[in-house]
Amino acid sequence: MFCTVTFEQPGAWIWIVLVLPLFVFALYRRKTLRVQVSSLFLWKEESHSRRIRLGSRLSGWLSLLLQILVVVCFLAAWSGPRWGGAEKSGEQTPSRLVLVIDNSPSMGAREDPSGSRRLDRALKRARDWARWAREGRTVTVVTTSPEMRVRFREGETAREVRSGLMDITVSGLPGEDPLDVARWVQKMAGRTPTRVVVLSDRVASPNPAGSGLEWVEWEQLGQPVPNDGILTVRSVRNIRGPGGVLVLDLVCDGGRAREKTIVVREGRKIHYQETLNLVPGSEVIRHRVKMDDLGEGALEIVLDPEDALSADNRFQVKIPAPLPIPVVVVGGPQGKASALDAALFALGDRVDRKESVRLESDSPPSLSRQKRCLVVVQEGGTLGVREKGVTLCLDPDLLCQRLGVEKELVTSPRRSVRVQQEPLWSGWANLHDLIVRQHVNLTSWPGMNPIVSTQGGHPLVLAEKGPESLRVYLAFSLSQSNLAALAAFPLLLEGLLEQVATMNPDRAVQARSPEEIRLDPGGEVTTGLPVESPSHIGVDFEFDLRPLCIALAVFFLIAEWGLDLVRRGRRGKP
Amino acid sequence: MHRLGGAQEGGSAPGDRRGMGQEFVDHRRYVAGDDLRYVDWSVYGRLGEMQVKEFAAEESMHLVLVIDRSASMGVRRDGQPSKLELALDIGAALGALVLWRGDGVTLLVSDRDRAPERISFRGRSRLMELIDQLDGVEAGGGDREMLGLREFFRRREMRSTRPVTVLLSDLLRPPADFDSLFTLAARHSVRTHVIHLAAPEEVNPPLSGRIELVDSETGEPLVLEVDETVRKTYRQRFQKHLDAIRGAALKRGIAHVLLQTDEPMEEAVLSLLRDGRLFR
Repeated sequence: MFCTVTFEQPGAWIWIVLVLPLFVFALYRRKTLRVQVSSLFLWKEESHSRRIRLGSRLSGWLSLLLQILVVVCFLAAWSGPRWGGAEKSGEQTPSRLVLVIDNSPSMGAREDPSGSRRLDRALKRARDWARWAREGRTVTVVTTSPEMRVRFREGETAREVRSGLMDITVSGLPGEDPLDVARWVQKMAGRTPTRVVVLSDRVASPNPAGSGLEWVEWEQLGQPVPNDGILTVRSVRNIRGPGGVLVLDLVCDGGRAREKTIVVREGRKIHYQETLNLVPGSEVIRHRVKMDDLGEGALEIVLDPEDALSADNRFQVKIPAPLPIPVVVVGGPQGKASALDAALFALGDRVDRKESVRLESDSPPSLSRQKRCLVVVQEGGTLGVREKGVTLCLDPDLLCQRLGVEKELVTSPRRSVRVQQEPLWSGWANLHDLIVRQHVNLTSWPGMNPIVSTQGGHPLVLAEKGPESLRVYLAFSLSQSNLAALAAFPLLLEGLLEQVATMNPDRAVQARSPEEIRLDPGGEVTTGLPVESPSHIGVDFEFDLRPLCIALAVFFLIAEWGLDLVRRGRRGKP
Repeated sequence: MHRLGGAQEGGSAPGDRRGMGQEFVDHRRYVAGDDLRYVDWSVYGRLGEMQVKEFAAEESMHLVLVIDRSASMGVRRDGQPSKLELALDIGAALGALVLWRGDGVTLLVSDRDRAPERISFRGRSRLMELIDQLDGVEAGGGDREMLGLREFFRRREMRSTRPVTVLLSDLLRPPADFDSLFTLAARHSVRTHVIHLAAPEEVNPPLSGRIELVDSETGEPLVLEVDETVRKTYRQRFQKHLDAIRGAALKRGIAHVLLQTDEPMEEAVLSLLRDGRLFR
């Protein structure tokens, strides 16, 4: 409604329709007829004549002034005035400073030769910022630890702020994304001039215009971790059943040495946390995790959640414990019900049938249902899923080549699948571009040969021998309640391919992910381009003054009418 | 031009005093010494009591015309004659009647810069002079006529002439001003008649809407939002003003007549003469 008048928005000229009648009304409403009378003796109180005369003149001028103000305000509102803006943001003096301190596990890394952690540097910077708290300005400290979701401290003096900083420690959980926290701060601040400083070791995301984060100052502590030294889980075993000891076979492959954190949790309950100083290499590191009260719930093993391999730094693997996931669906062409059912059966005993997606044959699911499904069947390109900023890519041609099967598993149910050409793989597909064609229940998978199975022995890669070729189907699980598990998908794929490679030692299997990482032809994985922090930090508040002008115009109009009523009331006793 | 004389002169107009005139006034009981020619024998025949007929004394009449020539009298609207024009017509008519009878007329007029001056006329030959004098009267004289009238009432020579004073004015002043004037006239036994002139729009203003009223005398503006409530209040105020003046006049034995400018002047004068409100 309050759009700025531009040639691209001619609809804003509708305001003139409101101004013109008012202007005409103001012109014709106050037309006064001048009449000469013998005497004003009977028209007014003689004793009050002087006062009335003076009041009449003043009220006349006041009425004229109010009418002029009404017209001026409406014209001003019509012109779409604005106050503030980007060019004035630097001149603003925000009264509040919000320090977003990333206290995620990666902030405990010691890359500095002096041995100080990243969090120590962040706290030192925060103490420097604490001096900003004076002369009525407040400093609020927000941390990203997941235990409290955000930790909120506010002080009006530098001493209070510094004392609050002493309680901040490195959290054992990944926590909130500082970018999300910054957005949350921006939302909570509203129109209050607020300066936000993010102290994190993460690479600042590009701030496109209009994202609302141009006013966030991002201080990056530490260098981005190169995508080497990737910690993966070779195998997970629960040697004593539910409860007991988890045996993790870990591999930190390639790259430089660095600290890796292992967190085993059940929901938000942390069972185990340990920081390992791993030496990159191909040898398997067996780590034993004692679990005293392992229940029936889903366990998650979070491996170094700050690893740059994951765009959102949530690097976790869900072990095939009892899964409360709603559904596992394998997509494929129609007529492959047996294969789909086989895949479904792979995790069938761990699927809540009540929450399963019920789809009729040939009926595409809704978008919300698609989010609950994972379909990795695509024609002629890369198998992939893209969700929550993570893109998983798998080259089917390469996979089929490594597996020694023909590429018949790839079938696109829709022709609108977007394929993006990449140097090494032919493209990737968006989850929303894929649909589920069929969903059936099956208690067995006749004719299917599981190639890769989960820890519980459930097949994840199935092979079906057709009349002329061998078809391979992939089945993956996703939890609707925890979409963060999508981040584990590349690792799962990688683990699966590792299994395949183990089974076929003479054939190499390869997978790449995620979308934030570009794969150069040389095979070197690098992070995205460095993002410059906003050099101009200020408060970018821009107010639309049109409602204010309209309110003033209405106020003046009411005042003028009130004045007119008063004058009428006075004239009622001439 | 004659000054009003101090001697009483006989005339053709019946006065208040009993005398030897021809107009029968009343009967009274016969007392010794009365002229037997005035005994009403028919009454004696019916009642057996001697009653003597009384006649009004015929005395010389002197008409004093006081015409308010203030600016308010000159306001003209909608083609109707102004109050001053009507006052001059009435004054000319009354003056002509008096002069035609051989009596005298004194015109109390004022100049813009000088005090009111009395101009007297007597006899039919002076009729045209009176009319010419009235033709020269214009609006814009202020309150000088009222001041001259006060001075006129105080003059001793006028008390002996017992003139008939006719005041033609719109009386748009506080009633207290006229109350003192009427009191002065009664104190000096001056027979006074007030012809109250009013325009129709003054009696019932046809105004409506946002009006800027301008005082014809002072030029003062007054912006009003005239509606029925305002008009009703004005009419009530005008009636109150009229009642106040009329009450003050009647209290001092002064005749008060209201004439509107939309009434024909001839009918107005004849009405004044016919019902005896002006002259007996």
